[in-house]
Parts: sequence; structure tokens; C-alpha cells
Amino acid sequence: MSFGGPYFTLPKFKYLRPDSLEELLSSLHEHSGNAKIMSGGVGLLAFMKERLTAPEYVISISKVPELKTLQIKGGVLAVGANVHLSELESGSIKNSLPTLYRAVKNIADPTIRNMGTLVGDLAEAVPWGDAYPALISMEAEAEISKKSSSRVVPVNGLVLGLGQINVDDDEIISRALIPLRKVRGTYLKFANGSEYGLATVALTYFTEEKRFNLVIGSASETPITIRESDVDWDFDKDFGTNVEKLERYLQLNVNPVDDLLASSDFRKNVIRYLSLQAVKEVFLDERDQN
Amino acid sequence: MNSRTVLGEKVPQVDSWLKVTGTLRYSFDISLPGMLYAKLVTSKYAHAKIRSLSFEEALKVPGVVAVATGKDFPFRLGIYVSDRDVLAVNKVRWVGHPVAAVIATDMSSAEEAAEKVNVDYEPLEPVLDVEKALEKDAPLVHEDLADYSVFPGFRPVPGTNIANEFNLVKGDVEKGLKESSVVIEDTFRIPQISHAAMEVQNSIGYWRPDNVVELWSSVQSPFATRFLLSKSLGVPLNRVIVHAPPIGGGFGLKAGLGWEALVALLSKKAGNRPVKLVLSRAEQMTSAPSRDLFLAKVRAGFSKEGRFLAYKAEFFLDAGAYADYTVNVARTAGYSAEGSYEIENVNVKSLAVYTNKIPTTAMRGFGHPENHWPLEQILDRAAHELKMDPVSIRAVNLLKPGFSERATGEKVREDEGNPEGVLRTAAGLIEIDKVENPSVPWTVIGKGLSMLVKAPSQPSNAAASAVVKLNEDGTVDVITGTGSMGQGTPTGLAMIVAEEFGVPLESVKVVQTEGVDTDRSAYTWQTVGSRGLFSDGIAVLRAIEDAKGQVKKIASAVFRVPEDDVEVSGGYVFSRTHPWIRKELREFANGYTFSDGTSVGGPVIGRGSYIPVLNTFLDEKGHGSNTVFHTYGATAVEVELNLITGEIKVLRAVQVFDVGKVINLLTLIGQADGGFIMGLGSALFEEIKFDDSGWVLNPNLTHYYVPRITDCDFEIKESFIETPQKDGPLGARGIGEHVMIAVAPAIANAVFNATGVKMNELPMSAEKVWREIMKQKPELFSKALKSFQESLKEVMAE
Amino acid sequence: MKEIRINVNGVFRHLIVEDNEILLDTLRTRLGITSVKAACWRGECGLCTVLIDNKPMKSCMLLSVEVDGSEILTAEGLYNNKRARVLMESFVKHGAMQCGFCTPAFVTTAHSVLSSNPDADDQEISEKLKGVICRCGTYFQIKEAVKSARAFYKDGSPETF
Repeated sequence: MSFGGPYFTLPKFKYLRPDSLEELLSSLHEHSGNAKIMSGGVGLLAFMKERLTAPEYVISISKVPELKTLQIKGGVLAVGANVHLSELESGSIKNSLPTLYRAVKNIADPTIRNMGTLVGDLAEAVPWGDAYPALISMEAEAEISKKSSSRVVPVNGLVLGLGQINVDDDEIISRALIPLRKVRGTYLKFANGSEYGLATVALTYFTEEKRFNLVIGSASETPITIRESDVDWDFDKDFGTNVEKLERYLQLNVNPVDDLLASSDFRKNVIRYLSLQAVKEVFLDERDQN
Repeated sequence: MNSRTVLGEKVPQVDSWLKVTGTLRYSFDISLPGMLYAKLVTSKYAHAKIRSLSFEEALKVPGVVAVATGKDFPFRLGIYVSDRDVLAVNKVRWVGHPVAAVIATDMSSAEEAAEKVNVDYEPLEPVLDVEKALEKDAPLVHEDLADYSVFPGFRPVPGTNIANEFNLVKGDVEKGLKESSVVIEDTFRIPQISHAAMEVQNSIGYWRPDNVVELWSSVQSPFATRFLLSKSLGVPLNRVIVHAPPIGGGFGLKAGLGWEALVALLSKKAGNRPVKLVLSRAEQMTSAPSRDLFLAKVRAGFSKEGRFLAYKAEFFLDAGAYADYTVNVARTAGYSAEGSYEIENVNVKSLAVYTNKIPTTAMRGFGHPENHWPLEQILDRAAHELKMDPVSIRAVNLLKPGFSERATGEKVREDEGNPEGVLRTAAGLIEIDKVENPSVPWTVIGKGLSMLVKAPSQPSNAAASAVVKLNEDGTVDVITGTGSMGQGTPTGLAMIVAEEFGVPLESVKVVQTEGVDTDRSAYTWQTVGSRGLFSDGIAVLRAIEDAKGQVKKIASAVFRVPEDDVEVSGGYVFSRTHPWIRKELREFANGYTFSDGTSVGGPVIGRGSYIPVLNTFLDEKGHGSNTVFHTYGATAVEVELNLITGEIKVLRAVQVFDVGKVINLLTLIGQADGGFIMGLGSALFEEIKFDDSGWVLNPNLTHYYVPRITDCDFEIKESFIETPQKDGPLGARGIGEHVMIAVAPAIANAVFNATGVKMNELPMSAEKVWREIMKQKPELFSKALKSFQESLKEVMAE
Repeated sequence: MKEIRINVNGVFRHLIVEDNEILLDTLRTRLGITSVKAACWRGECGLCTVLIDNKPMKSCMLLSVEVDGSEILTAEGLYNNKRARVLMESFVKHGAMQCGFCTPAFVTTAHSVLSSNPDADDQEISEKLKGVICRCGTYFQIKEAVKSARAFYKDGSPETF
């Protein structure tokens, strides 16, 4: 998909700014189908400037206190929909959720990260988004709220394709819920001649459970998740053998797209490179984890 | 008042404080009372007839004043070939071709209305490939080519898509090739790239009720703009006023005539109110010109000693829908195809070819980034075949100042520069022979260099002028025609004036620093071709001489000494033979008043001018004399290449130029570094991509990636040689374009020297390099991958 | 239409803005703040960067209504901040500009970088300035300019004149 709209201005809309979650949800309910939620606005305004969307209402969540919180509760880091990406660039996130930290560092640039949010990046539902593959690899869940209820679903599966997301018009992804388990992780992005990655790899290794999710992003419409069981990775066996299995799996099962940024075969080559770099970092190179 | 010299020192640009505070006023920042806004309606087809066009609905949008279409403005525009329309008339020639313009009181209404202009197209077969455009039955982009007005020296071929054909012939190239021990033959390609100047093109037109056409526009060449506008619209020159505020990057994009004719006509159409057009980035990249696509098929022959015996080349410049300026780019790429080398037999054919793609124009380097791309790689490849090194094969063939002759027949002047010094300095600074070890075994480190030479490509009458006025407090005002676009020319001129009068730099004001306008500035042809400091510099020096002459005349009466005994320097006027007879310069600024009240002389206003003398047009064999100075340079790099991913990373860069005389070291270094970065962008990332129907796929700065600060984590060194140009201003030469010309070939040579992999196409994206490795040296990839895989096991073993 | 109250470069402004009005336009067109440039209008080039409550943000991607209640600083305002003035002087001295069109955005962003970390190293400076494009390629000079202004951002050096 390529952008190139000629517009400077935004289409007309009515701006709503609820002051509480309750007010937000009833507003969403009332204008369901005619409204778009704005968190950081970076994605939404871009889409509107391209005239890809022209909602009647834009509902800002900037003044909803419940969505601004970043808190740890019950072994879960809950990232409110209006928590800016830059708030996640902290030392404690770096230590406890390295995959998240590194993914965030790879999103756009620091100025944009003062504006954009993690949930917004997820909700934009673009194949080149960095939040989605990272959240999948961390086995995050999404809290989705509407007027009368809320539900919690795995992030994995939430995005169906470009601009398509499994969230109803009267719902909002209110929080991303990231489990705080003992993990090692990384996020690698290969960008060349574009701001977007032509392939990314998010790897989260749950050290106590001895399992991992290696998630490949930007290479297909939705990310590809590879688990230790998929590749028959055996932690008691020789690392080299395991790597070979991973390579074989990638070779047989990963068929990336051809698009403006790269051809399929080159992407495949990059994915192998990033995947091996990632396992090296996560499983072998403890120094990089600090 | 006497001041130390500032020449050769690091002097900040005189408008620096306005820039850091954002208060320098660009045309982007200007708005006039009652100003209206224009929005373009552009073609969705690469090639189509306009069946009908309706805009009743657009006119109903509140705020809309008028809608203009091509039929309203039956004028032809262009600098060398008048192949442009104001808005499309009858047919569209590329996706993005403006077909109509909406004028409204505000941008929002204009944008809304633009969506309501309906155009009914009858699609025609487009031609999107430069070689296909040359086939016999190719669709014609310009059926009326024969009717266009053409500048002397250009040769469009009506009935074809050839916008210009240029030939350069020296000796017998076939014979030369036959006698060669090594012949390198290959095809090279460079895609269309965008100038990506940060300030988009923007213009205000005001067709005043008194029929004076006034413009405020982001242009590099206000006088050329005025001339071309006057010629196209039939308005006398002095009824056109072009205001050219400082510009936010030009790089050739803003040379000649841009959108000024359109906004002037829109203003008239809107009832003589000022109208502003600002392009969006997408419009800038689809409706406005880019750099040509370049295709070169070359054969180069060398003797076994490495002598360059023959160069046979065919250049095809895909000019897109308008070749306006590109006809001269193609001509220039042709006549300068031999670069810094003396080649015994040369046959170069260079065509500018129309296609149904975005139009093209001048860009920094003007045909030289193009023709150096094959040339400088050929030398490394030949050296490799001949078991020579890149420095010696160049040294053998370099033009010898004072002895050699160019293929055009022009003598290489004795004071032209020191190409060999440039070459050896660059090679030395990059330590070309020193082998570097890569950080990991799946990468290699390579070093490469490329020479470059360029002269301004300008008509033989590309003149300049200047006025120097003394003020009664000792300050000096300088009026020129060259404005400020970041290149630093106004600052350089101010330094020259300060030096010559011996006054402090702060006492000199170059008025045009804050903008040129054709009513109140001195004439200069254009701010292009690295000619500003040279041409305006000479004019300024002559104006200083003239002013000093006037001072001497007055002082002669005051001092009662002969005029030729009077000296003006160091801020003083004095008698050479009786140096104790002296007065401050300021006392003569408005003439001199004696103690009894009587006066002599009058205000001192020096004028100076410059025109290249003895320049000629080039004949059908490309022979003639068409240059005023050449600047030699070399770029050398050390790069690390990842053999698995194809990613190139620059580790060190060296920029060497023979500038004749360093005027301002700060802006010179700035140019050398900045040009390297722009060259790096075109070498590694930049390409305007098209789909099969001629749509631009990346008209934005996300997918058209220009270098960011994070791409500059390498070391860069600059070195300047000073071989004075005898007729240059204080010996100086221009440098503005040279700084980016050799970057891509230097990087390609580094890749070649490290791996043997030949890179024929730009940009050298990771994917393209990887693909070439897989095609040419797959064993390098396999070995690298293996070592990478091994490294995983090794870490494990630790 | 919405009412907003903002402080722009030390001056309180009470404005009525359209719901779909973009901060870039409010600043440039309505308040005449020309240091805020634009080159892409979609968050790529960073030339419209302003400080909103001391954080750099791209004003082409912000609704004016959203900044209600904020304090906005641009290069014009930073000229009156002693530390920023030193930073600007460093840009001047190092020739960290050519055409100057991106310069205010770099100055503004760099001011926030040094304000939050006066010890920022080469890499951090680079990374934090990644959101602004300079086509003239003055990046090497910009890095030098920012680095040599660091001392003035340390504790004890005054912000006001």
C-alpha cells in the first residue's frame, strides 16, 4: 500500500472529547459506525489526510484518565490506550520486557513516539506495524471495552488484515495487557530505503517455561508466529541443531509477500538472518540483555 | 577600521541568526492581503485525451472563486524546448499532469472543490520505457514537437520521442576498440530521483490591475523566470517582477520556470487577486519534475598499459513528459562523458527521450552523476583486468592541464586545477592500499574512489552583474543577482568585498541575502551550475574596482596627487608615494566635503559585470568551446558490506576538491559533507518507483527515503587543493554540485574491489546488492552464511 | 468550533478553532509563527516540530483542539531562553545549516534533548534528532553544534537572561 494523497487539510468532522471512560463508551455507543477513536492521532490523521477515512465524529481519548495509566497488577503490565510510546522507553521496561522496549524503539522516531501510543499502533492494523508482532510474541492480551461490558482476548488474531481489526465499531481497545513473566527477548527490524521494516522479528523467550514465540512481521499481511514446538526446538539438545531446525522451518513455511519494499525471496533471506540474530541474542548473548 | 582578513576562514553564513530563529522569510512564509489559494486537479492516466471537463459542482463549494482549465491558458513554456503547457490542453501526458486548478479563499475549500472537478478521459497507449519510446511505432508523447520553439544548439526530432540528440565524436572509436587489449562492455542504469528539497515548490502570482505581473516564488533564477514568463505570456520584461526570497533547498528543481506562469494566469482569472499555489509532497513528487532516468550502454577499450583508447557510449535520458531542461542535461552528459580523462577515440550519443512519466529537469550535478556512474566504474574494472590499481589507471589517463585537449576540442587550461593531486590526496586519505579487517566474518570491507570534474553547463551569454555602494559610515552595500539557498554565495561575496576594501565583514551587506527581486537586484543569468561565486564574484570584483576608481578620482582632488598614486585598502584611502596623506574610506562615500564646505565627487556606486567570452555553441560533432572553469574532485570511501543481507554501510568518507582558492572554509566543508550525504541517498536508497500504468508508488518521504541523521554515523574528511584559476574571483572555482557526483561510483567501486561484484544499477539497495551477489558470486553469500551459522555454534561453545 | 487556551512562546492565547484545524495551520497561518515549517504534512519530515509542554511533537499531526491548555514553544520563543540561545549560537558557529528551512526544527528538538539529558552522547543525539530531515545534509555539523552546547544545559547554567 502506498500513500500519496495531495491533501493539506482534514475532512470536516465533529470533535468529541469525553472526560471519562464511561462517557467515552457511551459516546462510542451512540455514534457507532460514524466515529473514529483518536489516541495519539498520528495514524488517524494520516489516514484522514489521505482521504482513506472520513468519519463524522472523531472521539479523542486524550482526557480519559483511565486510559492514561501504565500499571502493574497481578503480574501484568497494563498499558492504557493513551499511554504514549515514549513512556515505554524506560529502564524498567527495558529490563522486564525487552521485546517491548526494543519494538518501541523501532517505531517511527522519538518525536512521533511522544505522540503515538502502543495501542494506537496496534489498532492501526497495518502489516508493517511494530506493536502487533511484539505483543503477539509476548503473549499479550487486549482489553476491549464497550458501553455495557468488556472482554479480554489474546492480541494474536486481533488484526485480520490491512486496516481490518476484530474490534466492533462501538468498542475500544482500552488496554494492552502484557504478562510479566521471566523473559528474555528482542526485536529486530530490517529497514532499507524506507522508514518501514521490510521484515521484523520479535522473539520472546519465557525462561522458566522454556518456550518462545518468534514472530515475523512486515513480511505478510498478518504476522507469522513460530513456537518452539513448531520447530521441534529441544532446549536440552545442541543449540546448533536447534538453529538448523529453525532454519529448515523458515525455509519450508515462511513465504513472504512481494511488494514495493522488497521481493519475497529477499525478504525470506532477511528473515533467516534476523531470526538467527534474534536467537543468538536471546539464547546465547546474555550481555545484550542488559 | 582596518580589519584582519577573513578569506579562507570559517565564517558562518550572514543570515545564520535568521535561520536558527526561523525568522528568515521564504516564499513559503509569505501571504498577501486578499490572497487566494489554488489547488491542482491532476491526471489519473499516463496518456489520455481529455474528452470533456466539467466543474459546475466545484464552483458551488463555498469559497470557490474560479476554476481554470488548460483551454484558458493557450501558452507554451520552456527554457530550451518549449514543450510544456500551463495546464493540460486536449491531452494528458503523465499521471499527475495538472489538468485544472481551483481557486478559493482558503485551502480547505479549494481541496474540497478539486475533488468535484470531473474529467472524462479517453485513455491512449502510454509509453513508459525509454527504449520502447525509441521504437518506430511507439506512441508519440508530443505530436507537435516541430512547432515548439527551440534554443540554438538543440535538436529535437519531430515525429519521434527524441527531445534532443547530441553527438560527441573524436578520432575513430571502432579502430580504438579494435586496438584495445581490454574492452569493458556493460549497461548501466540510474532511476528517476527526487530533488526532495524541503521547501516544496510554491508561488504567489499577482496580475495587478495595472497589468504588471508580480510574483513571489521559490526560484533559483528569478531573471530567467522573468525572461521565460515574459516570452511565454507576451508581457514586456519590465512589467514582470519576480521576487525570489531565500529558498529552502533548490538542487536544480527551482531553476528556470516553475509554476509562475500558472499562478500569474490564475490571478488574472480570479479577478486580479493574488493567488498562491503550494504543492503537497505528493504533488511535488508526481506533478512536478524530478531528475531524469539514465540508461547507458558503453564499450570502453584500454591498451595493456592501461591507456584509455576508446569510449563508445550511448546515453538515453528518460526525460518524462517534458524535457524542458533535460535536453541540456543530456547534451551535457554527452559532451562531458570523458570525465577527467583524456581518451583517444570517443563516440558518444546522448538522447533525451520523452515518455509518459513525470517530467524531469535540472538536478545538482546536471548530467554528471549520470555520466560518471559508468565511467568511473569502467576504470576500476579495466584496472582489475589489467592487474593495475585504481589509482594508477586513473593517473595514466588523467587530463594534463596545459597539454591535453578535451573531446570537444577545447584545450585543458594550465590553471584548470590539479587532477592528479586530487586523486592522490583522496587515495592517501582513505589509505586505499591498506586492507581493513571486518568486524564479523560475514562482512567485507572495501575501499573505492572516483574522480569527478564538472564545468557549469550554461549558454555562452550567461552573464552576471553587481553594484557596490559605499555608505557614509564606512559600511558597504552590495547588490547582486544571486540569492541565498544555503549554498553560501552571499556570504562568500561579502567576504570578498570585506577583503578588497579592508573593512570588517559586519560592515558589508549583500542585499540579496534576504531575497532577490528582478526590479532591484543586479542581473545574473541563474543561480545554477555552481556558477554563483564565480560569475557574480567576478562581477563584484569589477564593481569594487569601479568604486575604487571613483574614490581615487575624488581623492586625487583632495590629496592633490595623481589618481594612479591613490590606493584604497585596509579601510583607508592614501597616497602611495606619500602614505602619511591618508583618510578613512568613509569620508569619500558620498563625495568629499572640504573644511570650507565645498565638495567634489558624489556618491560612490561601482558597477561590474561578467560574461563568458569566447564560448561557442557545440557543433554537430560536439566540438566547440563552451566552458569557463572546471572543478576537479574525488570521493573515496571505505564501506562494510554484509554479504548475507547485501547491506552497505559507509565507515569512512573522503571528499577532495581543487577549489582554486578557499573563500569560506565553513560553508565549503558544509557543502562537501552535505553533498556526500545527498550522494549517499541516491547511491543507496533513492528511487522514484512506478507501476505498470505510470503511477508513482512512493510519492512521500516514508518510501522515498532520504538520508537521516542516523545514517551519518561515519567519519568524513575533507581536503581542499588550491590551484588558482587565473580569471576566477581571487582564484576560486565553484563547488556546489561537485560534492555529490562521485559518491555513488566510489561506493560501487568499493563493493567491486572487495568482492568483484559489479553494480550497474542504482540505488544499491540491500536487495539489489544481495541479488547481484547471488548472481555474480553466490559462493561469497554461501561462505558468509556459513560463517554466520558457525558463529552461533562458537558462542555456544564459549 | 472549539475554544482553546494555549500559551505560545510565553503569551497566553485564547482562540476559537475549527474541529478539524491542524496545529501547524493555527501556528503558521493564524499566529504568524513562521519558524514552524512543513515539507510533508504527514509526520515524516519533522519540520513542523514544536515543543508542547517541553516535549517535541510534529504539529502537522496534531489537532489544535487537542493542545488546549498546553504551553507551546517554537524557535522564536526559544530565542529568549538563555540556554537555547547558546545552542543557537552553536548552530551558527558550526555552520549547522545551509538553506535553513529545517534549522528551527533541529534547534527546537535539540533543545529538548539537552534539557532532558545534558550528557547526551553522539548516539543519543543522533537517535533523538532522527525525526527531522535536512536535505542539505548538515547532519555532521548539527551533531557538533549540539554536542558543544551541552555544558550550558548542566545544572547551574541559567535559563533566563
